[in-house]
Amino acid sequence: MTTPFIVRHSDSPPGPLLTPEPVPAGAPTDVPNRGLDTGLLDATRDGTAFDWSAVAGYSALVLLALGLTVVAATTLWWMLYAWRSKGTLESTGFSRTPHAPTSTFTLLVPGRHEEEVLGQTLDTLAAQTHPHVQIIAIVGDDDPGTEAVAREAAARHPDRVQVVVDDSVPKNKPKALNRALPFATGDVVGVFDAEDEVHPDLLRHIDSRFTETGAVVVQGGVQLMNFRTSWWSLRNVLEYYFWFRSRLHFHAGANFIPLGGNTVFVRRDALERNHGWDAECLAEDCELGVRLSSQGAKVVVAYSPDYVTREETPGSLKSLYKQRTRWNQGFLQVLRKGEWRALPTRSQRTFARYLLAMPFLQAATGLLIPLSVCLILFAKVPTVVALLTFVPLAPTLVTLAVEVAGLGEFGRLYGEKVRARDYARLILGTVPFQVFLALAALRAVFREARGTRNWEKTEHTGAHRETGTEAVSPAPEAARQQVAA
Amino acid sequence: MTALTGTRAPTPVVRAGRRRPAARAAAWVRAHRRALVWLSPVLAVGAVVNLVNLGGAPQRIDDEGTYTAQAWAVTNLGELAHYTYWYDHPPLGWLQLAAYTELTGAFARWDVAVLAAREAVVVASLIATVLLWVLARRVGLSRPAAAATGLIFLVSPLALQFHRTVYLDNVAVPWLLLAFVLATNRNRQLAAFAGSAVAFGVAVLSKETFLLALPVLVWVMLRASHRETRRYTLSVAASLLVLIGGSYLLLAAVKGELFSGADRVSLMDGIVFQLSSRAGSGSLTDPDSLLNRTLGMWWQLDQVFIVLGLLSAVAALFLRRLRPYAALVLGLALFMLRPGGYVPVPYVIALLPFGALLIAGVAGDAVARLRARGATGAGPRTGPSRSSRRARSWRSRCGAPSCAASCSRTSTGRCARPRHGSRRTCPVTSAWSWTTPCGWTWCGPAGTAGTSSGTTSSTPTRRSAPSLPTAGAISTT
Repeated sequence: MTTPFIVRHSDSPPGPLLTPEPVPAGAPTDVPNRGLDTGLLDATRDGTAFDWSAVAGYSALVLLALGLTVVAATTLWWMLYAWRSKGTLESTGFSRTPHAPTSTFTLLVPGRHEEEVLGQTLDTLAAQTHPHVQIIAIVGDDDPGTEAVAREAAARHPDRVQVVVDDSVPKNKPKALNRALPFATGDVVGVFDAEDEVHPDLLRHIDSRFTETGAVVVQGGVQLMNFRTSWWSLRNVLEYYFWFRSRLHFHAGANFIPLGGNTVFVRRDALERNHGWDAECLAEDCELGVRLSSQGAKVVVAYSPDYVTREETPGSLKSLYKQRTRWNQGFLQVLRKGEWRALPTRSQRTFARYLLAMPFLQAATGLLIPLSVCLILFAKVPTVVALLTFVPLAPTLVTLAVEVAGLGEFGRLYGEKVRARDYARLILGTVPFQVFLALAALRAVFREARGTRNWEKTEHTGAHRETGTEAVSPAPEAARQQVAA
Repeated sequence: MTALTGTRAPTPVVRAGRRRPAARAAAWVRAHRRALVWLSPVLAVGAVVNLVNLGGAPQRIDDEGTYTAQAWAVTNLGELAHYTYWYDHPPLGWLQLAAYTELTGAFARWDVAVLAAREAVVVASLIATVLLWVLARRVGLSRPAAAATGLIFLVSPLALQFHRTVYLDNVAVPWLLLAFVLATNRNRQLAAFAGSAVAFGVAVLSKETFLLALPVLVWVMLRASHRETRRYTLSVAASLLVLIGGSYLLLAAVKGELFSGADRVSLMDGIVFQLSSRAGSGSLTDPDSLLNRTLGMWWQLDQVFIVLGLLSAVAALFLRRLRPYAALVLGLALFMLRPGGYVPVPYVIALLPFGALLIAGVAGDAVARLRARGATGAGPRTGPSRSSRRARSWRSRCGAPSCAASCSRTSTGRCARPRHGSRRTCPVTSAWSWTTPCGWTWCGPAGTAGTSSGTTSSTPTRRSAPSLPTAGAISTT
């Protein structure tokens, strides 16, 4: 037999086919426990030794772990919706060249103690390239500073800007919007916040989106920008990025969508039919989205980094805490109000229930992961059970990897340099932010249970506008100059 | 399950939402009838050849007894091994054997326990054949060539010897193939790449030497990935792979056996043993070295496969779509010859599917090329030859100029790539278009990545299980 390498015994017939044996392996000599442990068999076969309470405990632990895994994994999957495939990603954007304008627009801009930012926002909105825009600034009757700024803007743009004074008590955003709705004349009503930075071409693209899809609601992208301000602002910015870039498209596809608070556009007839916003709800945007979805209205989301509405994070961790409490409580109210029960199929209703309860499930995930780690460290459980309790960690860590990737993309898209320090902040902030979210969710539950339902306003100072009141990001500035020219 | 041909059904895809399962199955069979016509005889022949005389040949060896006993211990003792598990291999391989024997009652079916495990690995090889078919179709082989791939993979004498031997490699091969199939998905890449990473993780945890395929898998994945979503698809895949690898460390940590200590086994000891304590296989120049005896055994089994496999691997380096697999085969072959290294006898198992793929792929390419030449160079004819007819029909179906012999370059300097993921691949033409300057080629970054040798420098080598006195002795009656 010949090998390709060595010639040997070329004349003899082929020998028996034997598996070559390695040199007698130096198996470790210190391996303990050789020989069958007779106790092992006895233990497995001895029915009396069966400990039911332990099994119940283990089962609870395993079920908890699997539940947490499901929550974390679905959250991750929805967060990644836009990148599922190339086709999905392409479907999330605006079309490159917008159709000719066909609708008329009314933009509602409620402002409360926001004299620093409102004037500039109204100027930007007035500079929209869309030909038919009515802008209504809504100010409180107890807020002369903001009212003065709004009136000045109206004087600068008499053909576009109007001022409506809200005299309701106590004041909140849905009441302000409802106060202004009767003055709206456009086919489509849009909402912006006083601190928003809006691209001058946005309305043309939104209009085009209405024309292309025949939608009742179009939700545009909103993006927080100041990711360098603090560790939590970085997390807050990324939350917005994934929410508007990806997750909302998933909700639109599932025909159940909690709308965002601004850059949201609704056909006026649909709004009037529904008597506007729910003045008692703390998350009026979410509530409106749920109500319209339940009626079967078509909702479309469009995101493009160029036309995204830029905002700032809340000024302090405390005000972010209040804002998050308000949202969570709003979700709870929407869940209790039960408009979602009108959804046609059982699976949609289950989905709605799951989604509206999500802030609390997420909070639970955040709180229970450390708990399960403690259990593993200090409780004696079988190996399999211990391993299973680690499973929820897997989607959490993948989420972290995705967030790192998202931060890099955010930096590239918006021309911001992301430094190693930012990545470190992102990673180190994971657990504290989860705890923070959990606390906000718990506070929301407490407030709702005690019937405390007052509106805690988020203050804005214009941190996303780079220098004082003048500078805006280069893109809108350049575009506005073109419009002026 | 449109994946059987690796492409979508030619008929318009009907939403299968509320239809009855029977109707859906019938529609599926109709859509894939040509694949079924080609593949089912291969599977039938392979199943017969691999299952007949399962217990008679080859001679049972100690490894088989070890793995079978470990699989038995999982379901009967609730332990990872019948002795203390000492991290010789990751346990997922025999956990799968245990799952198979438990679910099908295989231990009760055979009077020799090892044969139950042999049955399990033959089933694994049959599953691998289906996946190999899908992969072959993905890389552009025609149906006959893909069927030939499956046939070589199942009935080569090397395959016959090794596919029925209870080696963990046999369990890992389907997972590796699945990883490659998913890595070449053009649609739904996020889920596909995540699945690919998981499948590869399972392959490595079934048999650690499969980690050697990682560079090639990364290459294939990078090449297939869409630029727009790459950032996310690859992050998810990479993190999943790391997590699955980490789960092995976690197992050791939970058992308190991560680092070595007195009077206990540890993962560290296991790795140290595999990497440094074992004697090498010797050198090629020493006629009595273990390496030469191992190679001699393979050579004695199937000289044709070895020669053709290596030759077609070299040839396939020049065919863009087969290049990664050629690199994988050549890389694994070279890694085997590294000085002082240990080559386990079943090392060849990982090479079998890819060798079969390359032999059939290169042969199919040569046939298509000859036919194309015959069609163009044979002077006036009454009608177009079959191959040119087929090529033309592919051209029209692909609707892209690059499917034609003259590849048009786009303004970016890349060849426009036919959207084969969107509808279907062009098996014959793709093979045939390798003859063109860049055919399907994306003369871009993916093409330039072709320097990977498919090897890593430090990889745990496999050791046959410790020679245990009772190996293979556990049987049920």
